[in-house]
Formats: sequence, structure tokens, C-alpha cells
Amino acid sequence: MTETILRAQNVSKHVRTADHQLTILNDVSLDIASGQSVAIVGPSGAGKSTLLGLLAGLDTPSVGKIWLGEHEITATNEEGRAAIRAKMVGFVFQTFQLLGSLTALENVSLPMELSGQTDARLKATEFLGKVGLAQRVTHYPKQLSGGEQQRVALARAFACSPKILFADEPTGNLDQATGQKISDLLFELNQQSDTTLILVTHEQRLAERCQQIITIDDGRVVSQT
Amino acid sequence: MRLIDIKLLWRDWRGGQLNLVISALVLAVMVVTAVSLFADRVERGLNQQISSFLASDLAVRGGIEISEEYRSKALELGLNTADTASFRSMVFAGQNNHLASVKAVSRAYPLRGEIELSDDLSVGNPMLKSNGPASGEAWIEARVFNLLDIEIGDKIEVGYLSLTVSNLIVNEPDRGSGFGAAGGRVMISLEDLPASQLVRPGSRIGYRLLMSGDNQAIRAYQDWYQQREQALKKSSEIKHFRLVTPENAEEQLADTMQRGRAFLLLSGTIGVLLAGLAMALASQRYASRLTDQVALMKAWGQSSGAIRRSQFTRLFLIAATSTLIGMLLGWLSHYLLLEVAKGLLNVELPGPSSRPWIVAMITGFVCVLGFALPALWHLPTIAPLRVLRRDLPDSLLGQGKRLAIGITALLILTYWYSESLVTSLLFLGALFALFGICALIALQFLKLVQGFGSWRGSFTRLGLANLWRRRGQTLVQLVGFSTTLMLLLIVTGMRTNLIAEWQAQLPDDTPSHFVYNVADNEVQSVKQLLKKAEVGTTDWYPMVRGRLVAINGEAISRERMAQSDGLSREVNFTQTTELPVENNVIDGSWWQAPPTGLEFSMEERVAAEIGVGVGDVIEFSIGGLKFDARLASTRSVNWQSMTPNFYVVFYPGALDKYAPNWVTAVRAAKTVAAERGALVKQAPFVSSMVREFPTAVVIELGDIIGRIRDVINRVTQGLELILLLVLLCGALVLFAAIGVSYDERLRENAILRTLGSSKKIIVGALTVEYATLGAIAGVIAGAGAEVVLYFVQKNVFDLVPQWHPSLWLLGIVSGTLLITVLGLLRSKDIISVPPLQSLRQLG
Ligand SMILES: Nc1ncnc2c1ncn2[C@@H]1O[C@H](COP(=O)(O)OP(=O)(O)OP(=O)(O)O)[C@@H](O)[C@H]1O
Ligand SMILES: [Mg+2]
Repeated sequence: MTETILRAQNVSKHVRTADHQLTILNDVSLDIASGQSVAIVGPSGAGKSTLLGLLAGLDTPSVGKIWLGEHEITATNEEGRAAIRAKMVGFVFQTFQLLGSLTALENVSLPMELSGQTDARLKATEFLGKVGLAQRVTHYPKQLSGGEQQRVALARAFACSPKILFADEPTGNLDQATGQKISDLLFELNQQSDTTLILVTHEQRLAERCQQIITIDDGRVVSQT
Repeated sequence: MRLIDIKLLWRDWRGGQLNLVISALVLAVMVVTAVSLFADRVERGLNQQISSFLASDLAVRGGIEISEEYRSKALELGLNTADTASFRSMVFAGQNNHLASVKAVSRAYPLRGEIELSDDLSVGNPMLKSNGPASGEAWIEARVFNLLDIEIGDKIEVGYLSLTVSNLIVNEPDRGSGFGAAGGRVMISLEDLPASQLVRPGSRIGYRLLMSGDNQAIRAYQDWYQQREQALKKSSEIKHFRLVTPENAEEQLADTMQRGRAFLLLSGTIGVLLAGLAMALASQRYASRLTDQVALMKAWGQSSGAIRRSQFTRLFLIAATSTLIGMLLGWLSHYLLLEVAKGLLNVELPGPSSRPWIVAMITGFVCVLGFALPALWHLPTIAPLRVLRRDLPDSLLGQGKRLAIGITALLILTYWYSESLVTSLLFLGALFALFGICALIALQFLKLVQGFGSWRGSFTRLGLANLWRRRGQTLVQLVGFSTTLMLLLIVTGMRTNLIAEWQAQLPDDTPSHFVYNVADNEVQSVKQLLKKAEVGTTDWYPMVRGRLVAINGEAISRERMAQSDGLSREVNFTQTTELPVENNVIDGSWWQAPPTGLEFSMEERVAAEIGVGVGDVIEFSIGGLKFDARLASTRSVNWQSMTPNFYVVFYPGALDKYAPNWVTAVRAAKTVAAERGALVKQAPFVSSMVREFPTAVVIELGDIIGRIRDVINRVTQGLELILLLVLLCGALVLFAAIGVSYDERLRENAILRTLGSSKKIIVGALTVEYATLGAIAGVIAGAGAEVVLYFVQKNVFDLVPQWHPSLWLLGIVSGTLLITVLGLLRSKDIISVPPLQSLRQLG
């Protein structure tokens, strides 16, 4: 058995609305081994994104504990979680989240520059090559198609060599063919880099490529394979 | 400072996101730099010039020789000193004589300014001297040459002295413009004065101790003098001396300067306010663009602290570079202002002090802290979860707090500019009351306009509906637009008023000469001569000099005498049945019928100074003869009117037996004024006057009037230039305000066009929207300007308040045009970018 990189223990998330308390996640427990690829599936509104946010340390649960690597992120404050995120975590989003005023190359190198890596540009160029955009490094997001933008986002996520990569519906905004290419690329890069992949998706085919599928509905884990 | 911060800043700049923030900041700093550099240098220059009117920085004057203590204090403070003694005396050359204004000066005279001399009667080669004549020499004015019929090198007699005339005086710095300078000038050395034996007990001599030195020493002397004066008052010693400062030497000029500076300052503050508004709006947009970036950075693990530091670094860089650029541009544009003001000042303008630079720098940084930072403040606190849930609310700093910070920044700046907390509080209080009122009125207009939309054409409805739907933003824009326009209208209106007031003081028929000392039996012939020469005159006044000796039977004590100029010296009396022009009766009444006894009217301020009112009886002494007269009325007098003015006016008959001389003001052709002092260029009537009536005196006022006209013209040009800068700030507000709703408009119009709306409808709707906005802003601006101008006219300028229909028209037309054109220009992309592209751009 490989070591556990991500563990959630009896995690619940409640939010207060105007008239009553809403339970978005209810007593979720998970154990994810390092290097695994995991899909979180479920109907819209089930709480997938909420769970992803909690696991990535972007938000805190109302109840329960979460460990990222050896750090218990629920026991630390936002600054502590930020430090852990900086060390371990990468993201890919449904809406790509590229910065419009930056070129493809700058978008990819930005997180590395922020963490003070000196070879940021070099690595960024390398990863843009890996995603097949070597010719487009100086282009701005608005000059790229959706698929191309998501490829830049993938390059950006993997260039930092995160231990664990969170992806929220990475193909959700793309047509089927493009989505297919993006998921190919995602798994290819994942294999090369030995990263743990946590993926939220609606798409059965994408989920099936993962080693593990967690299904949630109405805030509860209903199956785990 | 990390390299990445600079990189991020550079990328934002490249993306055009900083354009508005930086241009607003540059413009604010530029306006302030230009205005304060200009004001600083001109003020220093004017002070120098006024000093040259005084021929010194400071003078002590008196009717007796200046006491030693005043001199030794000056020496103790390290001041330079010079002495002058002025008096009237006959000068002779052969058969001819003239009652001249003699001025004996020490060698160091003048301490400030220069004497313009020529050794050639046609003034071919004027030269500048900064010391007085040597012993044995006399320098005289052109008309004295004429009167005495002499040439350079001839001898004249002054008292028991015989002096060689070595130079013609073209101009002297402290020539003065009052009656004191009535006779032709003869300047001699102070060393020769005793030998002339003209100084005897009872002679009327004006002594001056001139002083010059650095500001600190001058101020120290002034302080000392004031203390000394206080002490004198207590000990009820007689006050023999007066301190003459640049401020009281040329009151009118000082007054103009004061107003000019206030105007400049106000314009500067308005510029900063507008630029600040533009900056706040632009920063808000910049912040919304940065939101995603910051959320991402936080998801990647950047701490709030690191992001805050990065933010500060970036803002510091923005502030520093923009301020530097602004200062540079301001420095350049202050030369434009100076170019306009050139010729206004005879002196070489001194370099600026360090203050304008400090003011500019502080403006730059305070603007960033007060207007940009508050809009960006919340960024580091953005939740990293925002990368997943974009609908999370931003914890934007509350509107109220941002407003408070902005106001504080403005307060700091206006305080820093005006150096008066009360002024700045009042100014800002008024300004924000204005914002509130504008917003309220604008809201009513919006409601009104919204009602119209329902029965108009399709794009009108769309445009008006847009205004109402975005009423929050519309209100911000309206307040921005209307206050900008209002301020511009106010500035325009104030300029018109300033000019109106100045011109009212100097009507076209302002006299060019005073004719003075005309004997009773000559008046008719002189009138004829003037008529033949086709020069018009104001009224003729008989004039005698006399003193006030007793009030209500009680002799005027020396203490009381010291209280008023009007008591302590001989003053000019006249008699007339008509109330002189620009005089108004304040108390009592002007004579409708001959009074039973002797009666007179007195200038109100002198009356107040010596403590007399209507009904009091005053004893006068003229040429040793004494008589009583009753005070029938007090009058206000416009001393700036350049017509003969009198403290004391008798009912006709009272002065007949004292052989009065006559005085009048003359209006001669304009061209004469240009060439000062040159004998050949004098108005034709002057030479015939001088020839036929040698005892009459003609004083030329021409160059004084020319100078004041020139001042007005140049000052207005300068104001126009500053207005242009303020206008630029206004345009920026416009751009920034449209920017606030830019993304939303882009998206909506893309959707409208995807749904098949024609370009025409979209342009039409935008035009209706902007035009309506502009018209509403114009109406509010016109109304506001009218209200402000009403009070300004009433309280600042002493003018009768008038309606300004032209300003309303200007406000509405220019508001509509300006906003429509700028708005459409700014919305160019909204209209022209293909809908798909704009949708993609927005993500
Ligand atoms: N802060 C919050 N306040 C109120 N309701 C919330 C909050 N966060 C999440 N929810 C609600 O919780 C539910 C789960 O949200 P979540 O975004 O996790 O769903 P999801 O499974 O990702 O759905 P989708 O597939 O549509 O993205 C939704 O009904 C959402 O409206
Ligand atoms: Mg989701």
C-alpha cells in the first residue's frame, strides 16, 4: 500500500441561509493514495465543487478533519493553508482562468515566478511545447480557442510539478472532441509527472479513465470504487 | 521590491489597464505642479517688483529725520540701508524756474530696482543704474529740461547749491503715482542736502529709511517694528514714523495678486478633485480586473501579506513614476503660463522655491493613497475559494469608507495648498454638499426621463431604459459629469466677473494725465488750450491745502493726531456743489440748497479714524487762517478711480479767499502712454501747457493704466490656460465613469447584436443614453453654477448678481455634445467589436 496523500475524516459543510441551515456536505470521509487519479462525480448541485474546494484547502469544513500530505489543513489558519497549497497543490478550472493581460508564456510562468523559481520561463516554454502550443507562446488568451486556452491552463498547472492536482470540470466548457483531446493530455501529463489527480466531472468517459470514482449525491458519498 | 512585482505592473500597463489611473495621476500632479510653480515664481517676482516700487524691501518713513533706533535695528539685523529725503522746492536755471519735487538720495539708493537714465534728451541710449547721483550732480526728468530750457551739462540751482545736470531720468523705481510726485523730479545727492540749506525747521520733508535683505531679517524687522509700535501706543508717545511694506505700498497690485493666487489654488484643487474622481473610478475597474488574478494567486498559495506587499510595491511604483512624469509635464507647462505672463513683470523671475515640488510630490502620493488604494484595498482579502465559486461576493471596502478616505485625502491636500484648515473645510464641505444635492436632483431627473421612454421610438426606449436600469452607475456618472461641468462653468463665470470688475475699475475713458496747480486766473485759458488740443477733462476742482486743528472746540492733541494720516499732515480741500463721481453719501445728506453756515463733507474712513460724525464742528487752518465748519455728510470714495479725490469737500464759497489752485484729470490719446519719459513723444498738449503755463503741473498716468490693462489681459490668458488643464481632468472623469459600466455594456450589446439588433439601434440607444446624461448634467451644472456665482458676485466681487443664461446654454449644449462625443468614442469597441469576440473577451 502506498502512502496516503489526502484524507478527509467525517467532513461536513453547513452554510447559513436566510431562514435555515443548509447542509451541503454531510459526513464525508475519504482516503486517497499518492499517485492515484480520482474522479468525483454526481449530479449538479451535489456538492462536488464544494468538496474539491475543501480538499484543496481553499475553504474550511464546518465539521471534520482534512490532511494534505502530513499536514492537517483543518488545524491551521489561512496563512498556513496557503503555505501548504504553495508547496503541494495545482489547479485546473472549468473556465480556464487565464489572465487576459498576460501572454500564454506569462500565464504559465506566473505561478513559478511568484514562488521565486528562477527557471520559470524555461520551464514554461517546455510545458507549452508539451501541450503543443510552442508556436503560440506570445499569444494572448483572447487570441486562443477554448481548447487552446485549457491547454495553456494544463501547462500552467503541471509546470509547477504539484504533488496533487485539482481539476473542476476541466472539459466542462469544451465540445466533445476538444474535451477528449484535453483529457488525453491531462492523463498523459499526469502519468509523466507522478501527480495525484482529483477530478470533478460530469462526463462518464472521463471518470472512467480514473483509477477511482467517488460518487456523491446530496452531500453524501454514495459509492466509492 | 521583487522583480515579479515590476513585471506584473508592466504587464498591467501593457494591457492598458493602468492607462486611466496613471493619466489621472499624472494630470493631477501636472496641474498642481504647473499652478504652484507658476504662482510661486510670479509671487516671488511680484514681490521683487513691488520691492522695486519701494526701491527696497521695507521702508520707514516720517516727516522728521528717521530716529537712530530704527537704523541701528536694521544694521543689527544685517539689513542694507539707504536714505532719501523728498520735498518740493523751486529750482532755477537762468530766467526759468520750476517748483520741483526734489529727492536727495544716499549713494546706496535704490536698494531694489534700478534707475533708468539717459544722457541724451531723445532717450536714445537708456542705461540702468543702481546708485544715486554723485555729489555735485543732478539728475532730472524730461519735462524739467523743457521747463527750464536747459541741456545736459548745464547748471541748475537748488537752494544755495549749484549742480551740474548730468542725466535725464527716464524712470525711477519708487516714483509713486500720487500728488507727492507733482513737480518735475530733480534727484540730488543726500551729501549735498545740508549745503542747499533747504532743510529748515518747518520745511515739509518726507524722510525714508530704505532697507533690504533676506526674508528672515526683513520679517524680523517687521516683528520688531510692530512690538515697538505697540509699546509706543501704550506710552502715548507721538508716532512719527510709519512702516512701508510691499503689501501696503501697492495695495491694488497686492490685492490682485491675492485674488489671482486664490483663483489658481481653487483651479488646482478642482483639477485634483476631478483627477481624483477619475482615479477612484478607474481604480475600481482596475480592481475588478485584478480580482481573478488575486484569487488565483491565493489559490496558488500566496499569502495575504505577500499580496499586500506586492500591491504596495506596485502602487508605490505607480505613484513615483506618475508623480515624476507629472512634475516634468507640470514644469514644462508652467513655462507656457510664464510665457503668457511675460512682460507682466519687469523683473527677471526668480527660480521657484522648493515648496511647489514638495506640494506636487505630496499630491501624487496622497492621491494614490486616497483615491486608488481604497478601491484596491480589499484585493488581498479575496477568498481563494473564489477560483471555484466566482459568485462569491468581494469584500469591497464600503462605499462610505472609501468616500471618507477620499475626502480625507482631499482635505489634506487642500489644507496643504491653502494653509488654512477653515478654508479647506469650508471648500470641501461645500463641494460634498454639492455632490449630495447633485445626486438628489439627478435621481429626480432620471425618474422623469424614465417616464418618457415608454412612448418614444425603440432605441430611445432602450437608451432611457439603460439609464434607469443602471441608475447606480448613472448617478455616479451624473454626479461626476455635472460637478465637472459646474466647476468649469463657475470658473468661466468667475473669469468673466473678474474681468468685468477689473474693467469696471478702468473704464475706457480712464484719464491719462492729471493737470494740477492751475492758478485761478489761468483756468479759462487752460480749458481753452485743452479744448483746442481735443483732449477731454473730468470736472475741475479748486484745491487748497490745509490742516484740521480742533474738533468741537477742543484742540486736536498730538496723540489723536498720530491716529490718522488725515490729521497729522496737510491735506487737499476742495469745494463743489456736485457730489464727485464714484462718491456715495454714507451719512447725512449732500447739499440740496446753500447751507446757512460753512459746511463740509468728509471721507468716511478718515471721519471714523478721527472720531467725528455729522453735526460735529471742526476748526480748519489754511495758510495760517482759521475757521470753523460743520460736518454735513460723510462719503465713501473710490480711491482707485483715477480722478481727483478729496478727503474734505466744502460747500462752495468757503475756500474762495484762499486762492485755490485747480486740478483736473485729462484723457489724451492712447499712443502717448507708450514712450515713457521721452521728451519728443509727449502728448502734444503737454508741451504747449508747459510753455504757456509754466507753473501748472502735468502728471502722466499713461503707463500706470497701460500696466494695469496689460495685467488684466495676461492674467486672463493665464486663467484660460489653467482652465484647459481643468477641462482635461473633466474629460478623464468622463472616460473613467463610462469605464465603470464598460464590461457590462460590452456584454449586453454583444448579446443584443447576437439577437439581431442592428448596429444602428445600438448606436442610437447609446447616443440617446449619453445625450440624455449630458443634458441632465448640463442642467444641473448650469443651475449649480448660477447659485455659486450669485454668492461669488455678491460676496467676493461686490457686483450686482446677474443671471447667466449664456452659462446655462453653454452647460447644456456643451454637456450634451461633449458627453455624447466622448461617450461614443469610448464605446467605439462596444459597437465595432464583433459580438463573438467581445463575449469571448469577457469569458
Ligand atoms: N456558500 C454557499 N451558500 C449557499 N449555498 C451554497 C454555498 N456553497 C454551495 N452552496 C450550494 O450547495 C450546493 C452544492 O454546490 P456545488 O457548487 O458544490 O455543487 P456541484 O456539485 O459542484 O454542482 P455543479 O455540478 O453544478 O457544479 C449547491 O446547491 C449550491 O447552491
Ligand atoms: Mg461544480
